[in-house]
Amino acid sequence: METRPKESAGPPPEKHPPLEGLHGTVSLPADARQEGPQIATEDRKRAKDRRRVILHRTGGGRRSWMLLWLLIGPGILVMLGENDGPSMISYAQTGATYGVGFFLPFIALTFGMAYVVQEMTVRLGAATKRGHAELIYARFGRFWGFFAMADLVLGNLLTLVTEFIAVRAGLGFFGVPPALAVLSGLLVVMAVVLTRRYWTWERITMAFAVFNLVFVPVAFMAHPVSSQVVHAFLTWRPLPGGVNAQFILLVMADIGATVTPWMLFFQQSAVVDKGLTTADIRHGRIDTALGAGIAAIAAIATVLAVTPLFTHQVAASSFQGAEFAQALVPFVGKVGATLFAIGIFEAGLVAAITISSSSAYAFGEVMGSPHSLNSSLREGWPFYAVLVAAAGISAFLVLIPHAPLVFIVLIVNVIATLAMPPAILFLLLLVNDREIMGEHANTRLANFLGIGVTVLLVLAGLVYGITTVFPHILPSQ
Amino acid sequence: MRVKRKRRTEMSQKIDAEGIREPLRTHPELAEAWVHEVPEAGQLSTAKLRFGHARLTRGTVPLLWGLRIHVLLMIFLISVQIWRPCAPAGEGRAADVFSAEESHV
Repeated sequence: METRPKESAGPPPEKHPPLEGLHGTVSLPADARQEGPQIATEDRKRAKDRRRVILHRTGGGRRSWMLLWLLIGPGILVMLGENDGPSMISYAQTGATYGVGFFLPFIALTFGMAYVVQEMTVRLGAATKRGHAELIYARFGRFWGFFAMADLVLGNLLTLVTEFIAVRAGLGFFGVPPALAVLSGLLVVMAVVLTRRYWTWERITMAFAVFNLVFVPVAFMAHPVSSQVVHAFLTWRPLPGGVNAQFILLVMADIGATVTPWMLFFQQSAVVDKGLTTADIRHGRIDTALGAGIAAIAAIATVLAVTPLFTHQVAASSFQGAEFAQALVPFVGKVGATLFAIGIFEAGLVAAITISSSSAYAFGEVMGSPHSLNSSLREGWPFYAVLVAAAGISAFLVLIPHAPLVFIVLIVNVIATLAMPPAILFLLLLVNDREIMGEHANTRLANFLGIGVTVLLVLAGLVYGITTVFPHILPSQ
Repeated sequence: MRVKRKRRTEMSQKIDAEGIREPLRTHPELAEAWVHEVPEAGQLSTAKLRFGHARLTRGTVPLLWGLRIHVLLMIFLISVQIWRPCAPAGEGRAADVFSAEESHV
């Protein structure tokens, strides 16, 4: 049996007497059903998952790999979800503009920063068994709870629009009409979500997310010079154009976008829904590190894949998803371009699944309604309704003729960077709250790293948000 | 194949050793009880750990006020960004933004 978390707040819930000793011939306790709290569908399904974890907890060798397999998920999904459609386009634009140089190690560093922040959500979720929005509501009151939820749901809705644009662009490369592409994406999101089983949802989404690595073969097809790549990682150079205002703004935007609010809410809620406990924190860390590593590899591969455009001085600053794939055909062939388009489609699809789920989790957590991907449709209908509505409204917006999509893409970044300080500050406050975290609260080192990254993220986000709204502040803008 | 079957048998024996399977078969009513048994405290959706309001320290109070100011700044910045292209004489930005060729992303 696993160790119980240290409870410091509130009375411990009632617990049914152990079943050991009941084997075979014992009489059934008369009040077996009445003793404990009521059981919901999500509890039964989660208990099945937990039983598998418990069975694999002891023993080394293959069992430890199996245990890792059972416990990974939220970290990989959140990191690969962050490699969404707009992010991949942004990496491609960076590669086409700056080539092999400063941005390769810089991208790796941003994922290191993302790990520092996301690891805290694993501990918070495992120790408290509550989602981020739920904890903010419980510890800091109604105002901040509703603010966190409304802020997230609105920001996610607009972000989802950009994901469906990516889905449309990826499939557009194969000649799929826009309406059909978006509706197909929406149907896939709904089909995955309506499995009504967290485990199935997680594994299907992870299977889709693996396609984020299709950028790696494309990078090899682009034949980057390996000595240049090594040199870039060792020296953080070259930096074409030098350090100017535009470069600083790009770095700020990249730092500000390293962690977005939905990532905090999503991973914590997913950790809770998966049923991770304090005994699983080590695996949660491995999961998050794995996700950060894979996502960094995919992001760096995207930069490398488009370097032929930089070398051949193709003006790609205004390129969007499918245009990159088309422009790459002479350099990486039809196969490489096809893989690139598949990668853009996958990036949008996985992000659409994870981001819409984070909205539904936050809504359920604050409103006090069931919020689990294990819920039955009858019990969790508000949760599924929010999830499907978030994805559906976004897909619908993409399909409206002459909708101001460019404007939406612009405002998404501003909302995401400006919404970050409250979310991340509450994360820091909660993860230092010994009353709820007990021995799993931040250590001095974790605080040093966490506060350092937080200050950097908040300042970079603010600078980016302000300069986007008031571009004339920067002389070269 | 044989290894897999062996592992299943081992797991099955372990389930029996933990006294889970037999009671479930003979007394289906115990299924609910078993679900109580596996999760940790606070993991059942109907019996979550209760957390009261956080005790705000001297450092937290100004931080929360700072956040309130940030929220106002945030609303202002977003409002400006939305208002600009919508305004009749939006310094040409309305034309720039709304009539821009739809993103091909």
